[in-house]
Amino acid sequence: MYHYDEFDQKLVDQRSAEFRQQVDRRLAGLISEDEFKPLRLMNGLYLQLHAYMLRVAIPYGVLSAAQLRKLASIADRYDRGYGHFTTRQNIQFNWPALVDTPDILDELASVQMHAIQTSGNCIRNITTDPFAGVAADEEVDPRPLAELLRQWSTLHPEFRYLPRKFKFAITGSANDRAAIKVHDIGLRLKRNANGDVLVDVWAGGGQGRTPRIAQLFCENLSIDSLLPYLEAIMRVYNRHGRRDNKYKARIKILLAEVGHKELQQEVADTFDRIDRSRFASVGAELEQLTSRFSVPAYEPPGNAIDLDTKRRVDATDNNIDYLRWQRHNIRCHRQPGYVIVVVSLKPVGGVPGDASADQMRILADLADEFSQGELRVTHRQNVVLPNVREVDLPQLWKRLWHAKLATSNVDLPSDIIACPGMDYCALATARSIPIAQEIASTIRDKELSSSPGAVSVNVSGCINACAHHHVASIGILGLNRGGIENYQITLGGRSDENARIGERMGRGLLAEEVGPAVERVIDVYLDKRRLDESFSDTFQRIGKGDFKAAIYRNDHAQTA
Amino acid sequence: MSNKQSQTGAKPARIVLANDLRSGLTVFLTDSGTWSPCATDAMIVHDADSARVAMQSAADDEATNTVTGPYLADCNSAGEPVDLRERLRVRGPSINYLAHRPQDAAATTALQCRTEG
Repeated sequence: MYHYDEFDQKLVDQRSAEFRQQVDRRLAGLISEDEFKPLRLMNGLYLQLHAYMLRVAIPYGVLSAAQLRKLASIADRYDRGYGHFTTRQNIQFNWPALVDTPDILDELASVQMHAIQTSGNCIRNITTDPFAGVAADEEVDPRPLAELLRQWSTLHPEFRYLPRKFKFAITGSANDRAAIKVHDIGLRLKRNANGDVLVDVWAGGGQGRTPRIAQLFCENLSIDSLLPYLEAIMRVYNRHGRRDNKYKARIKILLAEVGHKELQQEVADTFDRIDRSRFASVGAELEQLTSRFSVPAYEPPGNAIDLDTKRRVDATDNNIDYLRWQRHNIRCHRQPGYVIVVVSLKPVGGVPGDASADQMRILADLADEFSQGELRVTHRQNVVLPNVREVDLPQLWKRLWHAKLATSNVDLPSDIIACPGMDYCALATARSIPIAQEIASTIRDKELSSSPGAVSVNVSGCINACAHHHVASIGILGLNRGGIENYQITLGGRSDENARIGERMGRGLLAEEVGPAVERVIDVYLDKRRLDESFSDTFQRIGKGDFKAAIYRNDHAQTA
Repeated sequence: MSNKQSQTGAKPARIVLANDLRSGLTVFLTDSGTWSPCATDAMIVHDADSARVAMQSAADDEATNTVTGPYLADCNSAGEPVDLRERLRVRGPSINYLAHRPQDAAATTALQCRTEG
């Protein structure tokens, strides 16, 4: 993984020292809250419903074991012993005191982490495939480019005060696990027949109150042209994006108002005018970054299986819990003899995405022991051990099981994305976590017995759609209707390469109606699906009729 | 004042909430003009004049950097906020977010103060 050079470290250290001065001035009354707010937000510090919340960047979701241990230590020392992993592959601490935040930032800087640009109208943390660099189906490792874009976008003077926040996602696989088509800019890396890296640039996607699928702006762009092209998009957006109404300020609105072809042409014209000499060293820089993501020293397949290991495997193979976990939480690795392990942070009845400090330390230890010291955070709020020897799986599972981290539900209905909702968030209009917990409890037995294909259930506590409900198989949006929490259901969304916005079914439901309604929707899917068909494929094939009838079955019963 | 109160003729009641500047935690303006993390200590105001005086006191404390973001919230006669959002502010998250640290789960919210009171 990438390690800071002298420049990176100096920047983060200086920023931390600067924020300490800003906090001191605020506490001394030298600056008002109105003056301080934009400064704290630039450092990821929000004031939420109960307390401050600090959002820490995990660039493209890649973490070292040492970094995760530091996060655990911060959770224990400055917070309430836990952290919350987010859909931007970041982590949030929900209870830090303002007076402690300079020390927290210093501690983060000591392990090459920070909270810069995790808030504000700037380019936010760049997300990518959580299986980057190890996925069996990957064409191009997106991490070097993600790191290049991190460096390019960090404190970029032209793009620090954009009309609104701006989000990038990158995938290097045809199977999009980074949701690139619902980002302001989505990049698809691929190779041509000569092995050269090319980029498809998508722009104008997004969720929130106006969900949009991105449009293709440039196909097969050479990697040398990428940064100037991205600057062209940013420059056009910065110039024309609306600043009079924050609800209409994202690039997706500009795209809708101007038109795809017209905006594409303006970007192309701007691209032509950009001084390309500024980017002459980008190719060499990217090559240099690529060398920092060197392939780990994998063991040849088959060499590692000794007799003791085989006995352990045989003993565990009889365990139904292990077999379920192996079936649902393991993904194919590019290296024979290795697998990718997804550790679910969705125990039934737990808070989606939360990990205690103890669990973080255990995951860090397991990463050191079984995954070459590296972890990933997924936008589905889980954690990945990317380099695990297949023969180590039984032992790893036992350790996870003892730490209550072996829930076997990845990509199943109970693997629910949930935003913090009104339990924490000052913007929320309804709670999302209790709804997620209720759904998971309601459907867990069914998903264990029926082996559904991929079903995503995402619960957002307001129209800002932090939980990506628009692109879930089953999306749930919490609203406030006359002081009562009310939940709208959308079905058939997807965030993969065939991204699609879900269809709203009808009137909103009361909180207690949501779990049973979701269960009935899943019943329809299980009844109608073809072999191994995902929920969204079934929905697109048969349409919404049966699903909608199932949701509102009680309405029909009452009117019959 | 909520619509329900105006319709029923019930005496409107309100409390003043804010965030403590240093900790960020929710605090309540008390009868003595200080701030308490316990909702049970909250001063309940019943008329516009009292509300204005309370908010002036809160604004003074905001100016001297004790608290930030003070505002009035409708409540019932016992000081329990009417609105769900405000009830959550008083009680803390409705979920068992400290399941991993049961020893700390108590005494972390204003609701605990209420229970003890």
